[in-house]
Amino acid sequence: MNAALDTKEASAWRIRARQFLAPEFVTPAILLAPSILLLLVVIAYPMLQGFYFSFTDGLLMKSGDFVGIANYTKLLSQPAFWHSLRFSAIFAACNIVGCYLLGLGLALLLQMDMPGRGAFRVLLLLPWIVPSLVSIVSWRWMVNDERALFNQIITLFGGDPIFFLSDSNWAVTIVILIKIWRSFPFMMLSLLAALQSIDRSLYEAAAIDGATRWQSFWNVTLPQIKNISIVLCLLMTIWSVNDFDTPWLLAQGGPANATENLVVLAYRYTFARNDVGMGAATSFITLFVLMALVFFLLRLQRRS
Amino acid sequence: MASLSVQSVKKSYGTVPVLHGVDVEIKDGEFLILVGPSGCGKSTLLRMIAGLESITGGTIKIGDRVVNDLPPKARDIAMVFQSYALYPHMTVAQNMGFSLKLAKRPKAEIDAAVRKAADILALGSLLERTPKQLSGGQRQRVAMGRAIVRNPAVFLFDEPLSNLDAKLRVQMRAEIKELHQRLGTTIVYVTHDQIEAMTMADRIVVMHGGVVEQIGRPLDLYDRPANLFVAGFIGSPSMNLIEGEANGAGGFVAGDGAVLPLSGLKAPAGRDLVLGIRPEHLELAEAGTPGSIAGKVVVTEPTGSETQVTIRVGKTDLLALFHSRLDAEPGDEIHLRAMPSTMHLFDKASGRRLD
Repeated sequence: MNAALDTKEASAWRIRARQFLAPEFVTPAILLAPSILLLLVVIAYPMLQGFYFSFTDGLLMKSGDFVGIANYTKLLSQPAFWHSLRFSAIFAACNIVGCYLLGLGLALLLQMDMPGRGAFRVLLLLPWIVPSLVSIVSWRWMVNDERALFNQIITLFGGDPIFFLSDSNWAVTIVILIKIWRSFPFMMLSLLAALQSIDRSLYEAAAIDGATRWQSFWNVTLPQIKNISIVLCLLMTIWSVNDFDTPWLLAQGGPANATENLVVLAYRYTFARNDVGMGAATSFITLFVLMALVFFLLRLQRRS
Repeated sequence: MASLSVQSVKKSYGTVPVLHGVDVEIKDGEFLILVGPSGCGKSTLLRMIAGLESITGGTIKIGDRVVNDLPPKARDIAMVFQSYALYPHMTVAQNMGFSLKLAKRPKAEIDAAVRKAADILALGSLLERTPKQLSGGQRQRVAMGRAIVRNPAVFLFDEPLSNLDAKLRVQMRAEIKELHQRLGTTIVYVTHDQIEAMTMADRIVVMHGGVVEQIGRPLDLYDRPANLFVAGFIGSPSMNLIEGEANGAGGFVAGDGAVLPLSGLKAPAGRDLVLGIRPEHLELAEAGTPGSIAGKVVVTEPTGSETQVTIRVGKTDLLALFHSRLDAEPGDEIHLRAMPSTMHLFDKASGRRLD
C-alpha cells in the first residue's frame, strides 16, 4: 500500500520535473534569469538589508548589534514620530484632494472647445516637467524672506510681510500648496484622457432623459472616471507620503519639525543623528502604513 | 403621440451646408424612415429633431409646438442611439427608469413604468443586470425600453440595428414593427439599409447629398422611382440602368449599339435617356418571342431560392434574378424579355423619371 503510494508520488514528481525541464519552460527561464537576478540584487537585497538594520543599533560607519524590536518601541514612544505621521497624513490628504479638484476642474475646462487649448495644455504641464530642485528652489526665493517676491507684492498693497517659512502654520500651508502645484498636472492629464474616452452619446442620452449639466456630470462623468480616480488617488498617496523634495528643499522639515514628514524623519535619524536603526525602522513603518492604504484603495477599486 | 412637421429645414457647419432645405410632414402615429447613403444628412436631420444639433434655418414642429429653440428634454421625444448609449454603471432597471428619476417621480411609479416596459420587451429577467452582462440584442431592447418608459410623443431611432448581426437584425426588425403597431407612437427612424426601410416603414424619405430625393410608401418608391438615384438605391439587387436613346421604331439603342425592345413603352426620340429594368423583372423567353433579346451568360450565382445571373447583351451587362432554377453554363445563349409596365425611363441630363 505504502509502496504503491510512493511510486505514485514518485511518478508525480517525475512529471513535474519533466515539466520544468521542458524547452517551453527552460528557454524563457534562461532568458528571464539575468533580469530577475538583477532585480534581486538591486531591490530585494537592499530591502532585506534595510529591514535587518531596523533591528540593530548600527551607526553610519559601523554596523551595530541586534537589538530586537527596541527601535520600533522607541520610535512609537517618540512625539516626533507621531507628529511626522500626522503631518504625512495631512500632507497626503490635502495634496490628493487639492490635486483632484484642481486637476478635474482644469481637465473639464481643457476638454471644452476653446481657442488656445493646446497652448494651455502645454503650459499647465510645466510644473510637472520642471525638475523638482529647480521649481522648489525658485518657489523658495519667492516666499523666503521679507524681500522675496510675495512679500514685495504684499507690502506694495500696504500689508505687512509674512514670514512664510518661519511661521509653522504658514510653512505647512506653503509646503502643501507647492506640492499641489507640482503634482496637479499629472492628475489633470490622466483625468483629461479619461474624460475624452467617455462615449459622447451617453451625454446625449442624458440630455434627452432630461438631465441638467450638473446631473449629467454626476450621473455620467463621475461614474465613468471612478476607477481611474481611485488609481490616481493611490498613486498620489504613495507619491505624497514618499515625498522628500518638497518639505526638505523648501524648509528642511522646519521651522522646528513643523513640515517634517516620515521620510524627512527617517533621513534625520540616519544622517543627522547617525542612528541607522531608527532611520530604517521609520522607513519600514512608512512602508507598512502605505501598504495598508494601498490595500484599502485596491479593495475599493475591485468592489466597483 | 403627435405629428411632426419639418419645414424647409437647413443645416450648415460653418460655411459648409449639410441640409439644403428639407420638407417632411409626418402624420400622428406614422412610422417614417429616413434612408440614404452615409453623409446624406439623415442622421443630422434626426439629431436636429431631437435637439442635439442646432437648426440653421427653417422650422421643426412637434404637434403644434415649434421646438427649434427647446432643449431635448422639453421636446417630449425619446431616442434610441446606434451605440445604444446605455449608462454602463447602472442596471437595466436604473437605465430604463433614469428619466423618471430625474423628473423626481415617486419610486412606485418608476417601478411600475419600468416593469410595464420590461414586460413589453421581455426584459423582466434582466432588470438587475448591467449592460456589460447583456448581448447586443438585449442591449438594443433595453435602449428601446428606456425610450418606451418615457411615453414620448415621438420615438427617434438612429441606425439602431447596424451593430447587430444579420440574423438578429431580421428578428429585431420584426420586433420594432410589432412594437409600433402595439404602441402606435410616431416613429422617425434613420437607416442606410434600404431593406430595413422597405420592410418597416409606412413611408420612406430617400435623402441624398442633403436634399430629399423622394418621399413615398415603400412600394410606390419601388414601382415608380422619381429619379435615377432612387431607382438605383431602392431594390436589391439594384436596378439595371442602361444609357442610350430611343430609335423611334420601338427600340432602345444602348451606348454600345445593342438594341433592346421597348415593347410599346413610349420614349421620346433624339435625347439621352436611361432605361431601368429591375433584375427580378427580366424573364426567360423562347427564342424568337416578339420583344425578346438574346444574350450570353457570364456568371450564375444560385442562392437556392433564386438564381442571380449576369447576362451580356452586346457590351452591356444585365443582372437578372430568376425564381426558378436555371440550368445554364457561362457562355450559353439565353433569351430575355421584360414587361413594358415594369420598365422605367429616365432623362439622363436631369435624372428625372419620364411619363
